[in-house]
Amino acid sequence: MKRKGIIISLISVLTTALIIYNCSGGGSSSNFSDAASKVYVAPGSYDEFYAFMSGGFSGQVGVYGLPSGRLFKEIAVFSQDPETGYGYSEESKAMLMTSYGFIPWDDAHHPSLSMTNGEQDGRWLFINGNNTPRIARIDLRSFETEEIIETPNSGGNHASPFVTENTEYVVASTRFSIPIINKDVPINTYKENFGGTISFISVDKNSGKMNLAFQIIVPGFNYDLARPGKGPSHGWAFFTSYNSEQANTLLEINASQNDKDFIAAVNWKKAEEYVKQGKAKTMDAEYYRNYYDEEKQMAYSEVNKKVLVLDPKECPGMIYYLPTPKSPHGVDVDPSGEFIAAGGKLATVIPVHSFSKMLKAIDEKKFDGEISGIPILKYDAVIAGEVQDPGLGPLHTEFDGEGYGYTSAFISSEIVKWKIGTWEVVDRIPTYYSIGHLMIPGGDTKKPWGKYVIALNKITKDRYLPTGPELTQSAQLIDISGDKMKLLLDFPTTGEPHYAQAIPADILMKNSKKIYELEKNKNPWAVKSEKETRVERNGNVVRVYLSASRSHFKPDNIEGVKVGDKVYFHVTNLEQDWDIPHGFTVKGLNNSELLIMPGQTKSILWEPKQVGVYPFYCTDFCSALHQEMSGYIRVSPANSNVQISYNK
Amino acid sequence: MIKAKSGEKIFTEKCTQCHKLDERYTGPALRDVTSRRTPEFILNQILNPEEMTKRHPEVKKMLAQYATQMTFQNVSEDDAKAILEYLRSVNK
Repeated sequence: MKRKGIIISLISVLTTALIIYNCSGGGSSSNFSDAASKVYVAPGSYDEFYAFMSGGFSGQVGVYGLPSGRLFKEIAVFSQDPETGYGYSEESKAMLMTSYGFIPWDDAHHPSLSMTNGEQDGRWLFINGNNTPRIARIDLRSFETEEIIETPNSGGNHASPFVTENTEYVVASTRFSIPIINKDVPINTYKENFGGTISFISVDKNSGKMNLAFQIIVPGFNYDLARPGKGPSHGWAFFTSYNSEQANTLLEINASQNDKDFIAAVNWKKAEEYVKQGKAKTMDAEYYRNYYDEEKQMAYSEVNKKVLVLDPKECPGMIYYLPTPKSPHGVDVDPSGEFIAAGGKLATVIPVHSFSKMLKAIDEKKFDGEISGIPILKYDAVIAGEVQDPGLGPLHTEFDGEGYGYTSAFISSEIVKWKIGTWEVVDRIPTYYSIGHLMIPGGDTKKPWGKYVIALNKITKDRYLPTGPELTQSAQLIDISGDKMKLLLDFPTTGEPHYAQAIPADILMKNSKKIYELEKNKNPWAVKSEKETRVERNGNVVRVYLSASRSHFKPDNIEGVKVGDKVYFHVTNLEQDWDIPHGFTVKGLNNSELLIMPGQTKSILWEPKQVGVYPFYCTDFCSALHQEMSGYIRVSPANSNVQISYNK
Repeated sequence: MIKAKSGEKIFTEKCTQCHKLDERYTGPALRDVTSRRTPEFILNQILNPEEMTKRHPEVKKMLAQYATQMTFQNVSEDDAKAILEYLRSVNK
């Protein structure tokens, strides 16, 4: 009897182990073939959506197709890209200039598509650099970075660059407060000396050109995320904050004391009025704006020295604090513009504020004191409802346009679906694992395409083949077209995707650029035909004006270069048809290679240090005779008499 | 005559990286091309070279010989006609 008992308990242990094993590899759809057919994009067919996912610590943006999860491109934004020469080439180096000098990297967090009337218009994608505070603008015809603006008076630009309803502004604010203006003070004088700013960067509606319109000085909390209003709340923007304790050490404990922190509600139309009335002070600051001139195919930097600053103490009605439990992370406005959901990451509920109640509370002055001229509204006077039992660590909410919110819960690794108005949880689905942001295509706009939600997970553990200590991060595609959420697909992502955006493919496809027209190439180093190719010496600077076409460089034999010369290769791709790039590199190049699109000119600096003959070649397999697409450059001693010559 | 002149400019900018008049380069020498090919063939080859490779047996043979597919160089129909006039003018 006893033995039998042991066997039975062994079996039960095995069964339990089996169940646990299944769970850890779980999230499998009950019907694989059904899920597979929903994400299968047949060879040669197109995906339904473009998805733009931030690269996080890679500093770039990944372009994926949905529902397939296929990666199409990584757009170089804040980090140098040796594949294309971005940040290395003479034409692009200026894009990464800042008031701290040349910075080859940043931490890219929140892609944000431009909007018209609160709907995606497919013109630009904005993304923030978190570390050295910046905002970039990517052109969605070329899928290239066109502009990067620095935000001064900021220590960490996290709550950014979310766009207003008509892309009037992209916003920025300070995740880490610092002395404003920055100065040498003891860190423990935080409360006395540190402050935050909220910035509004205007976007020219024709050119997209960004300009730091004004900043608002705010108390030294940590401003975390943001969302401008829409519809009735258009003209306002909402910023979460944590560390209202104003701790300056061990924030994980010291900034988690208060039961409620704040959402700052900013009436930016009112702020605009104050600026017009001359209420803003002009403050000294230094910040770069780098822009890419498409005709000159060249990036330029401009240095700005002044910024307009508004102080809430002198601008009544411009900003209010909404008490919000607890250390809130995301703040998301529903498609109607009435509800403002906060992801109180240490809260036991999801608090949802009402915009109309907020206006009424302001009218009736239902205040609970103020901080630095900013009235604090009474929680009960602004809250619309609380979603109970929303999972642990709620972070972000997106909306499906059908009356539901979807909130990611980091600690309990799940997405919780809840109903706007009744605030009841109607469905939940596990994610694998530790979901950060989530994204519904258009889920932050007035018009979501509520077909899928993507979970952007921080941890993958056992989900993929192991690749040593560093594992891939992942996205999970979940079908939300029915009552129950259904997991369809896991796919790996590059870098760390924080947030993402998705847009129907047909909005972008039709505008996608195919070539750069040679006639419009105004690059000062361009050659428009092989006749213009040449090599010129000026002191110790040698400029090689090369053309590339299948399958040769012109010229391809160059002599007269000496040790100690600065040799600039200016390479123009003379092709004019789609998908015929050429590459360029030379042996011993201490810079990156160049990848040159049809009609484009790119330049790279080479400083030969030893005599000899150096091959150069095309790095992009361009044709059957690609291997033949090469040349030689002869390097003579510094005191040599060999004159510049080349084959014509 | 004016057309041939503008054709020469376009030819220099868009075609000479692959075609010379008297020597084989990436593609064939073109001095006598207007004697060898009909105007329709030349215009089609300039305006839609990939389609020509797919459909025209002569062009298919040329791909095997030269190994590089001719590309469209982003020229208009008028540009192509000007190039044709230029090629006529050099065929002596």
